[in-house]
Amino acid sequence: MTRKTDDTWIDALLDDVCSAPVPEPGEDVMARILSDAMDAQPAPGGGGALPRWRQALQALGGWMSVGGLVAATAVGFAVGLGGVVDAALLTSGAGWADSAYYQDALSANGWDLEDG
Amino acid sequence: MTRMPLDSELEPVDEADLLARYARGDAAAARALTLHLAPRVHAQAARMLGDGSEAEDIAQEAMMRLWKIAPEWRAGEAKVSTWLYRVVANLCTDRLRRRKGRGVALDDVAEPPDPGPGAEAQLLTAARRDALARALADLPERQRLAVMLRHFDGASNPDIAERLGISVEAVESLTARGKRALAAALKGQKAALGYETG
Repeated sequence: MTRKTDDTWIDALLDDVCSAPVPEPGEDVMARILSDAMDAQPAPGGGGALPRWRQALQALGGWMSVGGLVAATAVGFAVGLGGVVDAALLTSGAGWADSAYYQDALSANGWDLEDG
Repeated sequence: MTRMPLDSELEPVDEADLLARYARGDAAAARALTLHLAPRVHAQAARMLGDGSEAEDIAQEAMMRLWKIAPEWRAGEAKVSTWLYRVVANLCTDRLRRRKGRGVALDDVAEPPDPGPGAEAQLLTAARRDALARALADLPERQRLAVMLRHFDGASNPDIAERLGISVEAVESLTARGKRALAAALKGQKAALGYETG
């Protein structure tokens, strides 16, 4: 059994609405849109504007540099904590921490005193 | 002030290419995109909202979104005009839902400023547009887009299928379901909108 529906008037409604004239955009709004376009447009040769967070990331040298920065900050934070962190935790398993330079740096920050 | 030429006066353009040029800082591309797309965007919003002033706001907002996304636009993934069509449809839908939320009656249509011959016809046209826009706003997005592209843009089913990235059969199903839903939603207003025949 088929259900008879009379939806043809919807086609007529759609046709009537779509055939009605619509106003043209005013010169003011066209000028505003163009002004927005100019304001938002990246500088020529800039390769495109990036979101602010990506611009900041690039200014810092990209993901690799930021990773190094975070690692260095973490080490600096640990060094600053001084007596709270055992120097052995920092040096164990980390070959770079065995260098004379790094040991000197630790001493200069009082690690030798803390370790007795 | 020099009047900007309308879209129909311009040569066909490659929107994706223009957008890429815009993102590289080409000022001429900004102007070409504005002239090519803004009138369409405005017309779509005006049809949906029935208010020229609101349509201008929507056009500016939609175009601003285009300018902002331009540097990250990935050519080949979507057509610029289809993306923009969808943005405008969603912005208009939000406006219409807010109107409903403010409790405006469905048939609350403003009087024409200068009532005279044809004023009644203008009122009827406005009432039809208003009722249709509100019913469209309640459709699921894909049904709404399919119906609008078919009737507002006059796009063919294969064209709609390409623009929405679906099959022609899916387009037919979406438009049929969309129109059935519109008929159900507007059933009570059929006579008031002038479609009751006997």
